[in-house]
Amino acid sequence: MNFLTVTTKLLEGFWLSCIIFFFTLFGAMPLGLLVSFGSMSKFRPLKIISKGFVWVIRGTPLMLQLMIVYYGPGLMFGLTAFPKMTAVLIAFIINYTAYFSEIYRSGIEGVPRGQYEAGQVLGMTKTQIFFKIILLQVVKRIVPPMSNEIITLVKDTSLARVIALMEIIMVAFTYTTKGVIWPLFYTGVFYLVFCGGLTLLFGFIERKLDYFRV
Amino acid sequence: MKKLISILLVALLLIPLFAGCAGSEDDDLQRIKKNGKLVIGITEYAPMNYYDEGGKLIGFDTEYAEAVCAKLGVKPEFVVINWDTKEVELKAKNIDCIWNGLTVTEERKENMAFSSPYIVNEQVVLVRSADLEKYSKKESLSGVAVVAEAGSAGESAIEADLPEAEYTAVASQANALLEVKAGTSEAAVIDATMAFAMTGPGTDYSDIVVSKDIDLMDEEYAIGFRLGSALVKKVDEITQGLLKDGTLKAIAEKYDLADRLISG
Repeated sequence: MNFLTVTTKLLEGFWLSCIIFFFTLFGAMPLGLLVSFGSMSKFRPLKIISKGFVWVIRGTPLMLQLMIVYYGPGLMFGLTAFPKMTAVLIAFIINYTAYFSEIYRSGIEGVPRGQYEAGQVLGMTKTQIFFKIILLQVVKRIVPPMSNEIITLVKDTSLARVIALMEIIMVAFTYTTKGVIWPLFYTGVFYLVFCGGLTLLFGFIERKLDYFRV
Repeated sequence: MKKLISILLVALLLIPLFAGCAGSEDDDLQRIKKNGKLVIGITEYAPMNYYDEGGKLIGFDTEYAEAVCAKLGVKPEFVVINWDTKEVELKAKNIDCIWNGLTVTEERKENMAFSSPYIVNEQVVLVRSADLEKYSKKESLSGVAVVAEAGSAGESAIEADLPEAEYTAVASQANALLEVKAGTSEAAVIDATMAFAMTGPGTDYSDIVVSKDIDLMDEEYAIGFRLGSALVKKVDEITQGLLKDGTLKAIAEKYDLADRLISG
């Protein structure tokens, strides 16, 4: 097996992994904020639904959720299944929304009461307080746990192969069925390089936010 | 209230697990004619379905399926599936059939309807070439670590013919070979067709060989359809025709399977 052809094939697989990664991030980051508001809400039904959602999603394996999204419509209602990538994105976004919402909640609840009070003293509205005082402090607080979760997401993309989406590890497995083993271990390089880039990026963001303390 | 809602939410998520039992009696033949295509579940597996240098899907099952679909007047659509969940794919109607060197077993008959078998499939024992003399008889494998794919024909062969072996199930046939190569197991039982495609010169498994004197039971490959599917009869009829006019024999020769073809 030629090194270059294998690399090209693996890159094609890794491209799908990257699509899962970026779309999940862009979908789950804002949705997570919504769910965290729900979890902190004083309106009880909303709070219960949000907390229940987080419990169910965090309490079941992502692998199982993938299968439910992909096979569920056909098995339960006799409907046509979502295209594989759509099913993967739905499952991943839902899953990561739950995790992100808890990180946001920890960030928001970690901001001292005095910060709100100071805003009120200045005559700001609730919305103004949140966006002008709280949010930036939240961002600073959640960068380390978010980077952790985001790096986990990079590697979780490999779960997409349970519904046979041709991500990089599945591509590598097609070589093992032909009797070639090394591409499987070579995939580690792709993840390492990608996570390395992310680590640098998060380090940069943390340094940029270092000009104030919370 | 709190409890009720959480219970409801869990129930909602769990429904699909139990809904699998509900079968429907659609006429598959009419369905595929209406869609104009037959969706075929495959995995990449030489010599049945695999890609050539140019990225074109070839293989015995590929060409066989194309020939049958031409007679059916529909287009074949090959979809790569996860072999572990093939029954679920079939039931969920994501695919219409599994046509990928599928071994007929009693267990599988409960979940799918098989066409007439078309290839004789043999299970073989693979060992590292250095150990070939040590493991040349069935008895020599008693108490020895042997692997096969979970739920595969190899597993049934071990249960029937090598009950004394220390058996462990692994995720795929490729993983079974990997175990032997890595030394975590002593022998693997996999399909002969796959064994010959995966070992030998030019592969990473050139030091793994078939222990030829250990003879395990023969099995057969067939196409798996949904239970009660009208396609079974139709495809069998077409296969008879393809056997008579020599089409199938020609395809089998192309992939070196002529002596394994079931012709009649």
